[in-house]
Amino acid sequence: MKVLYINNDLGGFADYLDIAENTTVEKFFSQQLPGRQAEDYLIRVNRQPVARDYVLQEGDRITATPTKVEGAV
Amino acid sequence: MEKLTKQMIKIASMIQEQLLLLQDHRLREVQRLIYVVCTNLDQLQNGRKCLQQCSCRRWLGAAKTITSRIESKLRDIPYSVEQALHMMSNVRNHTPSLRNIFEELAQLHNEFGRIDCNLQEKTVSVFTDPIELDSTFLGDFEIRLEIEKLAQLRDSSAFRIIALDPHPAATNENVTHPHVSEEYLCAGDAGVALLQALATGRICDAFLLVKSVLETYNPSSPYVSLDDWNGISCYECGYVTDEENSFYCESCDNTFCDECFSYCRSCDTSLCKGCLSECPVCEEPVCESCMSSCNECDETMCISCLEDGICSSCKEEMEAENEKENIKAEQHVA
Repeated sequence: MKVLYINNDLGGFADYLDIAENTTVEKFFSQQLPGRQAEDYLIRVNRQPVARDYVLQEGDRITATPTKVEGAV
Repeated sequence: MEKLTKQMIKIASMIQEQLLLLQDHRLREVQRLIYVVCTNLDQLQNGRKCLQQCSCRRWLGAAKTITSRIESKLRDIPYSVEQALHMMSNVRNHTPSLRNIFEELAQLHNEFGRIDCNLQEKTVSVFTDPIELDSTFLGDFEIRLEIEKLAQLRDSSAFRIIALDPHPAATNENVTHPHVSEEYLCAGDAGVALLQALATGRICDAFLLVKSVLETYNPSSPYVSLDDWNGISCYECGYVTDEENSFYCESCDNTFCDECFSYCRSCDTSLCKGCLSECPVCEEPVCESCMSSCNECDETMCISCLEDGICSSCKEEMEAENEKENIKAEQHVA
């Protein structure tokens, strides 16, 4: 099934991805951002906060926005 | 709520209008870049023809000149192609629908709990909680998006970061956050993602990224380091010290560090080094009121170097003259 994934980290991109049925948000996050801590991201599904065991549905819109980003001068 | 919804619809429409303008600017830029590529290719083709002629007629000197021109064109072409491709990837972004932008604004309201839409100024604002970085309190900020700047989207300057309870750096009152100067944010690592979010109408994501930057401190690249944030800046050298180690000069009404502060060696008044003068005789710092001039030679010096209003060298001269006169008088008597 297809979901829209928007990654606001670094380059910031949006893409449609094929994922397996019964994929939870937690699993999706670990697949897309391996080695990163979920606590360091604001994760929204269809613009809403969801529990980590939320099972993604066809056409869901997932955004991951880092909560710690270094600015500069 | 109904009023806010109406405002949000109008703001969404303004944003969409600006994004369409942005798309239009980018399309024009693509055309310009393709024109550059085509011109380069035409010049390359001309170069090839000239080179062919030179080769047939054995004009080796001219061939050398043309070869270097061709070489330069061959180097320019990949660069111009790359630029055109980059701009074309930006153009591929779809302009979001009014509904999408409205949903972004609604999400923004949910994420921050409050959203201010100013239809006259064409701005959207949200407000952060008070921010404290590495135990330095910076206060709360308004994150304001200036919609009319979206069409010229080049960096994060579409946002203004306004300190609502300013706690600026001691050394620069325009720096209200380590990564904000004169109300403009340097987005650093968020820069590309922020532009991408704005260009594609993901307004809420852009605001969230700005908030993330405001809530993070990058010690390797701040406008003013948090180590130097608090304290009192020396008026003379800018060195930041705590209150205990800073000194107030009553003469010029400024505060100084201990290196730039001293006292008058004559009357013990504490003053900054700029308000003290060096006595040309004893070379000690003295205040203006302790400087005077010799009644004989008129040279300025500290009052400690004057005796009865006369400097030591004048005094010596006078004594020598007196002595001479005394000798003369004695000789006269004898």
